[in-house]
Amino acid sequence: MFLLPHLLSQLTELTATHHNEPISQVTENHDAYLIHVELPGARQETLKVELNGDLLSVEVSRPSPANVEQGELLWSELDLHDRTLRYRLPRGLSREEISATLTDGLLTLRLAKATPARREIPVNQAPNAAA
Amino acid sequence: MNANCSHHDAQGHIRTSQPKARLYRQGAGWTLQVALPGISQEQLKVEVEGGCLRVTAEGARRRFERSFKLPRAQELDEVEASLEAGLLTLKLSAVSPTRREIEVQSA
Repeated sequence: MFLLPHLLSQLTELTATHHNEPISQVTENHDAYLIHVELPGARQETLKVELNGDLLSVEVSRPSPANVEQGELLWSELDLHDRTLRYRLPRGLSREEISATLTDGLLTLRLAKATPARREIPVNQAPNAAA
Repeated sequence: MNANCSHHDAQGHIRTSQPKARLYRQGAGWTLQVALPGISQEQLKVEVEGGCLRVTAEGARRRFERSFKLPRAQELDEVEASLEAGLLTLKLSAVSPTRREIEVQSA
């Protein structure tokens, strides 16, 4: 069962957008939302993913390339600096089932949808009020 | 802001996009870095033809293609390519110019 589409728009990025902002894309399947963030050059040891209440933050520290002998920068379309991405999570997500996977510079955050808990409510018999 | 919101076009086919890059120069050579997030080595193809260097990559979610005009191609000695964490680094080294001694004529 798919959640309503408007929940997707609640998964907003709170960081200011600038020109070379890492590109992220949100997709949805039947049991989870997936946030794909493109972070070329990022490695596991330089990533920190944290959940604080309903705020999910991704801290990337990308040190300048190991080979410092790159020389003189002539032109760049890449902005591979340190940055933090923040997402405010909508309701309807399981706070426990969140996973982060980094492969080939692509970070995938998997946010499982919460299965509504079923609970039976007992019916109490109250004494007859007319007595 | 990205003009295209989706990586898929109206028919559901993956769009081909141009990857972002940056260029360094050191000595007589260059280092070109191309961002290919989500791409692994088997999905990548780098070709040099004429004065052009072409990078093509096809991943599960993204398809990238871009051609770069090589500076003074006739002087290129070799191209060394390495891919790590979705970042392609191409080292282009130029042939050292041949030395030529000019004979000085006496008048």
